[in-house]
Amino acid sequence: MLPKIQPALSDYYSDNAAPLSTRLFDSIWQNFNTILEASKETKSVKILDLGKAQPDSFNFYSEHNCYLTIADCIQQLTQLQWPTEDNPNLELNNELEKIIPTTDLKYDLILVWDSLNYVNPKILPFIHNHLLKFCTNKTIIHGFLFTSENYPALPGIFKILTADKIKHAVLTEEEIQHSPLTPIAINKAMPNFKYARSVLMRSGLQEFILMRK
Amino acid sequence: MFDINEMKKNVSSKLNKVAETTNIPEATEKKEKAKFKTTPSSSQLASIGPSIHFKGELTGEEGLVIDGKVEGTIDLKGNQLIIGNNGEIKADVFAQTIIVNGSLTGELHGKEKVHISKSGIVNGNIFSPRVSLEDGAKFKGSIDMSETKHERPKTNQPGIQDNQLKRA
Repeated sequence: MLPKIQPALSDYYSDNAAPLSTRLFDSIWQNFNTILEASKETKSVKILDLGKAQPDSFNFYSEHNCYLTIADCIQQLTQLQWPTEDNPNLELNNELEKIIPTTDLKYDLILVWDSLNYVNPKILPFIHNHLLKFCTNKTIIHGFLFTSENYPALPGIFKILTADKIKHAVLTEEEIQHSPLTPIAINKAMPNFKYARSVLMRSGLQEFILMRK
Repeated sequence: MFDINEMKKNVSSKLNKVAETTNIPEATEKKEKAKFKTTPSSSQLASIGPSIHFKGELTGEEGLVIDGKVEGTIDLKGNQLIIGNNGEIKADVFAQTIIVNGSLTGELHGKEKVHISKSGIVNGNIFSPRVSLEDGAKFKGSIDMSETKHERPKTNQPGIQDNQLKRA
């Protein structure tokens, strides 16, 4: 059983709480600008963030006239277990529908930041199928992933500072061991997306972009 | 001549200057609070106290502080709404500025801005050109920052329609 995402939110997001380490890096997130330019004239950019609401990022989205949905569902996704029932498809699909209810909205960008490491890999194809309901034929998935065997026991937090600068904070010294998960493995579990770009950082954190086929 | 009050004033102003020039979290917090201070001050606004539980359509043309429970619709037109720390709202809210210190479930339509403070919990959708969250605020839902949908549609007044239906 994975640990709960703790400590309390106030500590989680506060700079005063002094996370174990923070890192500022140049991000391929600058793709955001491309999406922004492409959709600027017709509509606002629609973003689905599977993570928690992060105050600093809000300023950035505010400036860009975005439509943002905070699903805040990482903890629920990490707690999803492979069903013991005869029909795992039905049960998992029902669970995912409860976690991220389907609407008519289609998103330009889906953020999966430091979350897929903590999800049972067998469940990834189901998440893929569910996310497809929120996609246009141009939707981009932007994610962060630890590709090393050891990675922090809790998901970190990310703050968008500018279009090409993101701050990452690690919140725990505790590490867990896992079979390495790579963006290519994720792409295999998400066949309706093509692997577009990936950058590996010294910390073992990998940033990747998947584009809808 | 020694004037203790004068001395207190001097010390206090010096301390304030120090606080302003250094990044003391408490000073920053005070500044943040000042930024979202009510205009007019919350003591001058109409208020719903913690023991009040209101169900239905709440409308008004002045600012309001809610520390009680409200279910239904709140429409303050061009005025400010403050949900106090004890406030529990299950309603669609229309106002110029909405500040949430308590909990709110529903749609928030802030013509100017919506602010969720560190004690605020919001489950629902926000429609406002400016949305800000303090560290520690809890939010789940969607935010539309485009400049539409901030005013209550005139044709969609559930309270009136419900009454008409009952009479019919």
